[in-house]
Amino acid sequence: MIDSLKINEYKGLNNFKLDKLSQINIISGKNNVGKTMLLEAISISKNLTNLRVFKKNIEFIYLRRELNYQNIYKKLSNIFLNIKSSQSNVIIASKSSNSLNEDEVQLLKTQYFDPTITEFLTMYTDDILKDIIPLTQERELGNVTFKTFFINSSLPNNYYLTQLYKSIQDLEIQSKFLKYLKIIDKNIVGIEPYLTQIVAPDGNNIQSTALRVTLKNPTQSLLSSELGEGTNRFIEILCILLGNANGTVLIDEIENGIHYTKLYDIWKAIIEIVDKENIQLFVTTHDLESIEALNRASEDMIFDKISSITLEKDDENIIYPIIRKYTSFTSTVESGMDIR
Amino acid sequence: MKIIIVEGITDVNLVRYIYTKMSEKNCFDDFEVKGRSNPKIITFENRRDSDLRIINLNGQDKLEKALIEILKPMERKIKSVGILIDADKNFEKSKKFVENAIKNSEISNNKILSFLTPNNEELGNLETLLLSSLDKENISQLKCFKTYKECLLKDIENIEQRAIDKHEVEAYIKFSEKPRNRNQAQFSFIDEKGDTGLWDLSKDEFKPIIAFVKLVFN
Repeated sequence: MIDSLKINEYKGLNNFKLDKLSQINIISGKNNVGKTMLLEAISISKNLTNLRVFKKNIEFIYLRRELNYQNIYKKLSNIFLNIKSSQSNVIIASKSSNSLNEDEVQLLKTQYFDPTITEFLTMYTDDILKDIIPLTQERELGNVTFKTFFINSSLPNNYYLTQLYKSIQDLEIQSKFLKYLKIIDKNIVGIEPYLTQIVAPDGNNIQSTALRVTLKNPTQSLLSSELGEGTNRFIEILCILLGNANGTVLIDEIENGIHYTKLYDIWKAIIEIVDKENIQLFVTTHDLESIEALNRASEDMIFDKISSITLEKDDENIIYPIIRKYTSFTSTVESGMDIR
Repeated sequence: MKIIIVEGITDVNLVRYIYTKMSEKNCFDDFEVKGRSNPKIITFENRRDSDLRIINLNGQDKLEKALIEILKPMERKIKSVGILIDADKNFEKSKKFVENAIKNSEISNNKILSFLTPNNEELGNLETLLLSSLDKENISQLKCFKTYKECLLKDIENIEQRAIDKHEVEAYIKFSEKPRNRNQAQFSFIDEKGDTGLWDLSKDEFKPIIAFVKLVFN
């Protein structure tokens, strides 16, 4: 579990510190205040096995958000991410200079970071030096199992959902999955992968896979893509949560496509799963109904491992967090004081 | 954000009334309720300026909870907090109660102001303030109430002054020229038809509390 997080110079996040993190962390704030940016930073920090994975993650995030990722390493120069958990305290640094010698690295460490740091990763824009420079111990990050999944705010496609559903089949928990899926539509009675053919731009048929969902009243069988956005999002969320015990899951704009009347039951299901599967969850939202639904669900399920993080900008446009532990979160939501 | 914390709905509506008159908008809907679960702590947010809030504690015992759990985490966002509670029967005790709550919350002192009704000097409460602004000798129902009050105090033991004051405010509202079928103080400032005209904010007695609201909200 991540207990605290420090981010320096990652896009708009600078000298940014988070503590009091819990099992479920709900991140809110106005548009462009940095909610998705914060998820990205967590995703980058958690998905480390070596520096190349780190760089791949950055590329992936840029590609997924359709951002221009050419020269991204120059754009991302001078990143300092510090992630502290009960197991480790890791710094990720991206330096714009071509190289740093050991003395310079030591100097950086003493200048910027605290002495409990266990790993210090340095990325150079020319990628010619070694990936990892461990400073205080030899343990490589690859020995620490971090499974992190980032569910972005857009609609998942057929192929991707089918791939995700494979983990449910591998774990043989299809009936459990279906029980949760019925929350969003009680008429869903079955779900299975389906081999389909699509016509490529050159006119040839190519094989692809999709999820086929069986409904009752009236009985019909549809591809998941023929169902609503909310159902597809919930399938994605369920696959990732149920398939990744002990992992970290990041969900951007959880309420997208989901009707507000379903939010309470969806939060109850999520609380039940993360509690049983020991998952740490980071969720962004700007929807008050979603926050209120989480509050009600947590009260009813007597689950208090929740923190809320409201991102704000001060008069100088510096992003800072308002962090609330559970008691403060519930008091604030119930009082009607704006928590978005 | 600028916030006034009060202990009851009548105080909320008096602050709203003062704000309405102060800003010359004459629109009582300026603040809308945001919380949903009475009788817990409820927030009222200004419709035009979301930075202006009134928090109704629904009982002053929840002051420290509101400061610690709701306001402390968002201290950086807060420009000023005004605490408006009754002086009651012991001014120093009430003052100490507020000071302790502020201290325990660890919110910076320079952001918080407090005011004890009726006028931040004397004993009493909101009803004391409201009644002090009335010309009792020239209001028929209050002249009658004087006799009724003497009778009550003579024949019934242990009547709280506050109960008598509340009763007197209700009698004033109920039998005034514009009663609009209401007798509760909380509805006596502005209603759906506009200013009830029952309270004259230009009276000297209201000046300290008006100055306090202006100080916090301006």
